[in-house]
Amino acid sequence: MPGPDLLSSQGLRLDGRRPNELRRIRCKLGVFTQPDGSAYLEQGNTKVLAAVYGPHQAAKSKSLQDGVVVNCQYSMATFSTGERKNRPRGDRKSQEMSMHLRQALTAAIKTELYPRSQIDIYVEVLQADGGAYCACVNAATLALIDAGIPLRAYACACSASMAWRNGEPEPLVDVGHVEEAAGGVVLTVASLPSTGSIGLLEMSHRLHMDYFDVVMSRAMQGCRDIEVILDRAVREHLAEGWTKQDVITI
Amino acid sequence: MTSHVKIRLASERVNHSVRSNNELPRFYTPGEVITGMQDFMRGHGTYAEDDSLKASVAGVMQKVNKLICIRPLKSRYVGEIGDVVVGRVLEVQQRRWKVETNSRLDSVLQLSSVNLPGGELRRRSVEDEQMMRKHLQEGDLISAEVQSVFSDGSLSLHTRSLKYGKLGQGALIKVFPSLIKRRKNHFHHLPCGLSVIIGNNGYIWISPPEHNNLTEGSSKDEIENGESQSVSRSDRETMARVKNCIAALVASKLMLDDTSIMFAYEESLKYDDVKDLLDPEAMLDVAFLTEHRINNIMEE
Amino acid sequence: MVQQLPTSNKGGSSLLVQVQYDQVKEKCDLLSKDFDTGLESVEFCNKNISRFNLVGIEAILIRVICGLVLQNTVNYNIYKGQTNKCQNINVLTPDRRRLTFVMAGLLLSPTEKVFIVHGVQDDYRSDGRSNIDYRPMELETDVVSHASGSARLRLANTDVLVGVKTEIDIPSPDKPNEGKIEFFVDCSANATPEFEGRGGEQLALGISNLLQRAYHSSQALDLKQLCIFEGKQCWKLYVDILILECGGNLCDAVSLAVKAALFNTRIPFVKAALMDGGNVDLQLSDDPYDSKLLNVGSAPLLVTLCKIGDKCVVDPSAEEESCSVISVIVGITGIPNCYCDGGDSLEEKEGKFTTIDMSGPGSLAPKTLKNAVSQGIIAAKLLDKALAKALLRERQENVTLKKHSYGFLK
Repeated sequence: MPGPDLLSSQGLRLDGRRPNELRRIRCKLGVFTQPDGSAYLEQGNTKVLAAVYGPHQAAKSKSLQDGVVVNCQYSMATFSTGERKNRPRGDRKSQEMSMHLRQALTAAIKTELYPRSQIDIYVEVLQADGGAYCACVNAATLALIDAGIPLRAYACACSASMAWRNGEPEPLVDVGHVEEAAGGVVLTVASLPSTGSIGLLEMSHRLHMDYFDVVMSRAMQGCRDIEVILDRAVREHLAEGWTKQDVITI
Repeated sequence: MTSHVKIRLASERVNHSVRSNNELPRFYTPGEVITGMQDFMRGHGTYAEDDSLKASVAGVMQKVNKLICIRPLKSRYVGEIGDVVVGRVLEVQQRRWKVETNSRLDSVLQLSSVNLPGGELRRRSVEDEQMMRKHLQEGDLISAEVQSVFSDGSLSLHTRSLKYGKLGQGALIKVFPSLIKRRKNHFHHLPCGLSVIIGNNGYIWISPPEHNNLTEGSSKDEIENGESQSVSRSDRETMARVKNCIAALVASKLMLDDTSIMFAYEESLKYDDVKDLLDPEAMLDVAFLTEHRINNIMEE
Repeated sequence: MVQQLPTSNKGGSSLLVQVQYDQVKEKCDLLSKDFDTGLESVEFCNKNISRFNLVGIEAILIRVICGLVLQNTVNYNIYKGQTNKCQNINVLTPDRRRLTFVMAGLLLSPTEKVFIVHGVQDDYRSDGRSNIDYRPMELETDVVSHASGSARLRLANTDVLVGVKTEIDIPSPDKPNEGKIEFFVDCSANATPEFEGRGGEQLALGISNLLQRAYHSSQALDLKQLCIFEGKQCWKLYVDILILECGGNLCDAVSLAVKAALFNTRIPFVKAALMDGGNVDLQLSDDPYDSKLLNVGSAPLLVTLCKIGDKCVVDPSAEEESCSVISVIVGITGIPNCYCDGGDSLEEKEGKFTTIDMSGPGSLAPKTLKNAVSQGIIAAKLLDKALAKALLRERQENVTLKKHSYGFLK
């Protein structure tokens, strides 16, 4: 079968992982004091910082009567990629990423609760090693939870690719930079795992329709696994920071 | 000699948590089902979907009879009638001022909700509109009470009492609203001599003790003199100490009220130099001892 | 900083105006006339007020506004004796449109400013520090693995992340045996929503130009150590600074982080070179540990001195910055002796000036300037010593223990 060699003969990927193994995720909520909510997330070697401001009064030109305005910005530090990047944001890719981020997060935020307000979500990629968009969505979800903004459910994003093993298609979850550069197909899904709904779907390269379901369900499964990890991190953060007055049961 | 510059390494970072993890309450995270029954009423932080009640923020459940709310750790201030807030005037508009109170929409202070100088009771005239700027300008700090909440959630404030109004000299500290307990009295005179206003919206105002009683009827000169008078050195030291103590309590996420601030102040007296309280270790020390004292009192 | 403002109007179209702070340093005639007396007191009449208070707005806008305010009521504030600049003015135009300008910086009430100014006079600031004390700082190097060197500095609320990347470049013809260094500052929107898009560009350009000037002198950073082949190949250092949070005193934090990142930078060794008819083909060592460190002992540090009232303070917080009319930024070279082990016994060299800059709409009497600068020299020396101690201690720890990266996680 034509296609890059993403799986070795022992069934290991280019970076030594198994096909359905996610990269290690480490995260922390409440990293900064100035924004209303902030979070730091590491997915393998990809490091992302997210900050949320709001909800605050929307600028008159932007405010909506029936819901909150969600404003996103995706920015990559100049030292984040192997080759130095000249402009952190403002180029087409960053703008496209900002729009995608907005789409995925607007699906999760309960926008009807905050008319005439605005929520600003700023994401900064400190180190990009593949899957930067997915890490950004996950970090932004954590930052929104840290800010106390009501969400319908966690918004998680995961990417998936496909390789061949013994003539059978084997989906790979959480695509790294090496695998992206090798030329395999990359399907990125941003979904709300607990409801099962999909906020954003994006694909690069080509994929035959017969294999679409397999790769898609692997990506959704990846989202569910990530949600479990994020949920654990949120509970740890709550355990550290709760105050005795909160619990009232009458 | 205490050094003027202190640089520490990340490996020496201090964890500010003072919690003892004995009894942890039940936490809810967004999207989690709270209960499936229909006879509960939805409060803040919850939403109904598919016949069940789900949480929309991450926090602790508060259940009062049939009302279920989830209270997040951090959020913007949600105003309720009767709350005391400290706010900053953002804009002077026609017949009202726009006040920033750390909530999701700017609050409003109507011209009809302030006391006229001289204490008169009359309809506001056109001259009053043009004198609005003399009363409150952009950047001024005021203490006020929430009069009503508009349908979109913005607050309407009033200063129709002698204890509210424009604030004079002092320092403002911003903390998270969830760290402020709702109490009957928000204006405190601490034993160390300072007056503290703990706003429900997370803005805390520390001011030096007033040596002469200024009322609404005093002449403008007296008020101006009071405003530009220099604060004495000992008062300044106390204010700096209290400010650093509040910062220490906030870093360890302890609830703020006059008792905890006073305990923290007393615990911090062992540090002679107030600027030593800026060190993370000192902050953790003060917070830990304060938490200890509060726990002891609660157990009694 | 740029702020876009809401305007209220009484019928008629609204006008949204963007105000740039620090962009145009127009010195008002009235102000410079009085600075000799030390009392920055100014009295205004309608015409001149628009010129003074709108200092910092582009020249075109000034002419437009002047035309509009000629005959109308202008609400303004008169300050006597205090060096407060007017925070905002409201202008009622002939057709009853109201334009509101808010000068940048934190919004503070006049009484808060009075309190801060008196505190500085008394050498006792609002958090107990004296005028020459710095807030506690935290430093960590080697946080970004893709970069040749990196550092993160946290100064109370201010958070700066610096990454240094190395590239091979051709040296400039007038300096054939020297390498190059280039600074790029990025103000992330994480710090404040005003930095979204291109909002932080002015500030970023200002700081990067300041750093470029500070490092320009050969006594600041010896660029000869970056040379590979004279006239043909040299190393170029790209120093990228990311400002994550702004809590006052940006320049100091940036310069400290830059110096720490340069201290941490590793330049790969050149193993072999093939001369191929004028073209040089370099072979670099693949081993990440087979590299050399830079000698950055004399790299300059910037010290910001904010003039509040009559005295100057170092390390102003955000509130103190909005109370000051002018601040002086000095760049002073470091003390190389601190940076080598056992160097305390050697004779200390005097730090040298590499740059001096002023920001703010006010002005400074020459004597105050001299005092401020000497204060800055003392502060820079203390900063350098503390930084050297911390960096050497960290290097020692990394040698003995396995490097554990904390970053933002702990």
